[in-house]
Amino acid sequence: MNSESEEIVKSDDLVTRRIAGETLIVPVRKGVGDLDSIFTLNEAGSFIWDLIGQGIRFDQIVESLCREYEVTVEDAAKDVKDFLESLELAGLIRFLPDSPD
Amino acid sequence: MKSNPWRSSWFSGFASQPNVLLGDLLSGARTAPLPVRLTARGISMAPFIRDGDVITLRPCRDCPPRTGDVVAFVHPVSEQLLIHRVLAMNGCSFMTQGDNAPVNDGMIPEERVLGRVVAVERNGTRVRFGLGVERFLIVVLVRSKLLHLLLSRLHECA
Repeated sequence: MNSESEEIVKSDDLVTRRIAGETLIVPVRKGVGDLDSIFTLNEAGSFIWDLIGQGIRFDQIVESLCREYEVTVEDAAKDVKDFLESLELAGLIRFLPDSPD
Repeated sequence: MKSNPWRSSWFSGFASQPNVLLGDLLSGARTAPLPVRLTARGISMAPFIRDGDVITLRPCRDCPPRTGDVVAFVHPVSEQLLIHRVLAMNGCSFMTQGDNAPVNDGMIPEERVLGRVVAVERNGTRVRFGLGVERFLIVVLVRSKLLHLLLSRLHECA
């Protein structure tokens, strides 16, 4: 994550499924679903995951979280940054470079 | 407004049912049917598939199981995900048994079978024995209980 204005998108090679409030994400590598690498997101993680699917940016995620949960902007921003970096490290999302205006 | 529950972890432990996901991927419930890799657990298929081997399953739609094949299925009684060998077929049902199991699993309806094992990797190396033509001999040995007896004797001697 280089800039907080970058658009966040999900990686293409994933299969997801929502079960009992959790989001299960299976990476697909070379056309094969890897069940040994399942990621499971809790309720708050799933909330953000759904937002990412809407082509949203960092600030918008923080705003949405603050509306949904009882948390300060500073705390939400720090936690969301950590979470997005974890998702990027796991290859589940990528950040699109800022488009020149 | 909800309290912030994410502080402990965004990622929760894997508590949900992997069978559902496996079925989704292989049947194509959510996407096109996909082959799936997963780590096998247990000793019921030893020595051909051992605990910790990584197996690749292909959707049954692509390659319907035949006698001697190793298949993944959800047992109709225990609801456990099992990976055992097809000993016989009867219409739309399969009789299955682990190579190292003393008894068979009963008849498994076709719709319970999720996929067929097409590859086994052990310590990063492809293992072929048990999935080729020798599978017919293995079926004979399993059905006659000779394989289980032999493996039990070997275990006792070891």
